[in-house]
Amino acid sequence: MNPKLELQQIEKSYGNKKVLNKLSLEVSSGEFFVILGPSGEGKSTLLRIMAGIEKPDNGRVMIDGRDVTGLPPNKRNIAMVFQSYALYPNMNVYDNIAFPLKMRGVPKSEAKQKVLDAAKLLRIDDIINEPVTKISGGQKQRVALARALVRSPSVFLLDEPLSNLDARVRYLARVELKRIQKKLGETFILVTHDQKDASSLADRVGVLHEGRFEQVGTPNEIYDKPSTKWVGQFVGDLPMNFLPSQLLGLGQSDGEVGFRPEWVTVGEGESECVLESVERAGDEYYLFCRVGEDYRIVLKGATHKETGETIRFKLRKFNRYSDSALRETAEQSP
Amino acid sequence: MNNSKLSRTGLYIVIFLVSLAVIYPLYVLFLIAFSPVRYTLDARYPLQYPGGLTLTNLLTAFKGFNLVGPALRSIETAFLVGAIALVIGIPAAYGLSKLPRRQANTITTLLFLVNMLPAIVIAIPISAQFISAHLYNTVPGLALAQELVVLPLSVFLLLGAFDSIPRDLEYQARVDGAGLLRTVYLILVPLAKAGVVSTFLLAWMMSWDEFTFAVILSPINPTLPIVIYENITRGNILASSAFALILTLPVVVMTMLLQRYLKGEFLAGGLNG
Repeated sequence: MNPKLELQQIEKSYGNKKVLNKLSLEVSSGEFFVILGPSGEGKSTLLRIMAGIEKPDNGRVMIDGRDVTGLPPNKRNIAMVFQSYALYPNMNVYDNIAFPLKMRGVPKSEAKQKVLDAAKLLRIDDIINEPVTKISGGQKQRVALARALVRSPSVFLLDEPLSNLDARVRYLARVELKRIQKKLGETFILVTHDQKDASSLADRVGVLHEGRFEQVGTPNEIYDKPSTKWVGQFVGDLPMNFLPSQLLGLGQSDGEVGFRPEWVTVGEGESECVLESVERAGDEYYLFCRVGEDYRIVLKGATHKETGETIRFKLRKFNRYSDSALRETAEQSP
Repeated sequence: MNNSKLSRTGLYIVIFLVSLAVIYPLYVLFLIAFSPVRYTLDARYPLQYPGGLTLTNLLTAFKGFNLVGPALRSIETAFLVGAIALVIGIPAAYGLSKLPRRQANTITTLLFLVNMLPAIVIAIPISAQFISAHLYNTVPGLALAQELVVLPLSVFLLLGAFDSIPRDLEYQARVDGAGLLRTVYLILVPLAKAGVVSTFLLAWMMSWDEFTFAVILSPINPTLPIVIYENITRGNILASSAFALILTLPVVVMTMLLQRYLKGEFLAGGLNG
């Protein structure tokens, strides 16, 4: 089966700055794909290229196996939710949601039913006649989503739709978004800089760095087996630790070992580090340590040691890296 | 709080004084137009308060001169100028708003080149062309000529109005299936309503009291300002102040009718926040 959306060798520059560099991607039907990356890495540009708002300098965009690279947004069968929600301030909630149907000449009675269905799905049927200037941020986000859902496009594009919500509402909105996507079985592509969005929503995540996908995989793959040191450091509450292999007595003389703070058992084993500071992390602690003179690492665990004292630790699991790329993953028996 | 109250009072006082300075000439105009002749002519200074009320001045003016023709012509021209300013100005301003800021600024500045030339310098060669094109002494001809001065300003105002609309709204409309035309006329123009209305109003007013083009390009079918000018040069102060009153009123009426669109509030709040 053809991929729902396919990017081939996309290139885009602004002036001398290369934003996207021969980027390729395939998203299959019904998939929730999250594009994750730090600010200024061209995430939104990429989404806008998919939408047809921006044109790539080179490369092709295919939707449903059709080359749409040269088509304007209204000729591509897509829906998009902008970070700003972009609700039409001159219309009320109903007219906002109905606008895409009106533009496609859907008969009024049919449109009405679809608008009400979408509003019900997003639980905004009670504010349907309010002006969009009078509703809360969370409601605006739902209206924007309803406007995207009201017709059946090939792909839904979402540009940081959750970033304007405060933490609690955001958590609920995530659950809601996932529920809706599962229910509809449609293809969603979401851009975010927030790993929590990625890990809780995505079937697959693409980590964008320097104009291309550094790694594409399930949230677990990205977390457990970062394909490069950069991904390891970008993904996770705290960056992955990297130490030269021989410093931990792990055989090889070259290459580095990468491990997450929680992949260690503190208080046993051969490796040692000097505790520098402690930070509470739920039931346990983040232990910020120094190895030798040059390396800083973070371990997760409990300890009775004071700062300045030496801690023993043992890796339960680690990855080996050479030239900053993943070589192999290994688990040690506990 | 006390302080801000004080500065608020101060603000109102300043607004009052400024309004007074603007309204005073209008007030004098009213007095002359409605006072009996002797108050106006005998007084050493113009009257500061109504000395009596009469409609004689106005009636004489209406009877003695054919006002209806020039007034209608002025109104026609003004509406035509306002309409053309929007019909050409909106696409032009939209196009400019899509360009990089720097290029847009350069082009807008160039548009104003015409305004830097004295109207009389432009009007004379135009009149020669207009005679052969049968636009001389016609309303459309005069409106087109006035557009030379009106259009650059209109484009400038509309550009500002379009620039203040968040780009995402336009993109959203495109994504939602609107083509270029519907995006402009269903989303951008309604959102820029305040700017569009004030542009129309300004174009209307600029045409309404425009003189140079009118006197050169339409001397046989004059507009109101020309008729007033002719009366003043004949020393007919009473009639011309009556005309001046007639010239003022439509502007006031237009402004009042369109005033409710001139508030920019409805734009706020559609985006996040």
